[in-house]
Amino acid sequence: MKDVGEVREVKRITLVLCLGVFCLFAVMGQGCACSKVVRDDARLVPELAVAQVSKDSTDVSQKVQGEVMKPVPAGVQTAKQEAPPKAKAEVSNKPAGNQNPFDMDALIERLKASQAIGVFTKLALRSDALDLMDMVKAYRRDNKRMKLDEIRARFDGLLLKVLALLDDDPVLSGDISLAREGIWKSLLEVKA
Amino acid sequence: MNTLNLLVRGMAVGLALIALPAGASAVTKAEDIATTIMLRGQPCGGNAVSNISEQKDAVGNTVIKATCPNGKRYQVDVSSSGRVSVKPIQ
Repeated sequence: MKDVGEVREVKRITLVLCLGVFCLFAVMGQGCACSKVVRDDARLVPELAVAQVSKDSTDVSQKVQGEVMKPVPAGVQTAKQEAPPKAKAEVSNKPAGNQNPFDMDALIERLKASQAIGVFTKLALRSDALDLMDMVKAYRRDNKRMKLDEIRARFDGLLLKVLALLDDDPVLSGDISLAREGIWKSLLEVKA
Repeated sequence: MNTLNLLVRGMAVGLALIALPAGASAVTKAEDIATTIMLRGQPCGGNAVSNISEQKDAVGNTVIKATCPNGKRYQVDVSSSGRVSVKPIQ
């Protein structure tokens, strides 16, 4: 009787493990299939990937538009209106619904909320951004002491750091990459 | 009833196996400090520090001391205004 009980117990444990492994493979297989489809879409139709990224950013910006978090820098609105030719070309390729891909406040909030970067790293990046703003202010006061190319090189370096750190948040990384020229323009229009 | 019980237990095992790697994706404090040190141009030799000690003064300045995988010890100063600086400890 004792042997029969042990055999039943072993059968039950085996069944539980089999069910667990089955569930695991079922869920993982579905996830892999989904990510493969997205990757294939992004590879075959790059415009679709860009549209997906900008759709997400538009959704977030629409959510943020309702809230008044802090005053928008003077340059942001101007930067939106005076987009560079490259950015204009990108916008023209997108569907009619995605006319506003760049929202500085929304990007900042998303960067603050991102789990891909730690708190101290975010503070270090903020310090770098403040240093860059100080450089722009110094350039405005006396443009003989510092060249604009030098500030642009620093800006590109900082953006590269941010994009490298956002390796685990590819959507936000893509949005920031798309908004590069807009961020630069808004940085240049910071009040002295 | 017994079959249902087994099914629920099986699903629980499967979900537990999935949840284990998913929870490991957040940035730890050790990784965060190592990234901060490297972001300030200091060599660290790895992506996580050890022997972390943190002190906060009355004004709100925070001083963190940590050891990198290459053996060097660094002091990370976070001012009350949020400015971050890193210096090696001799």
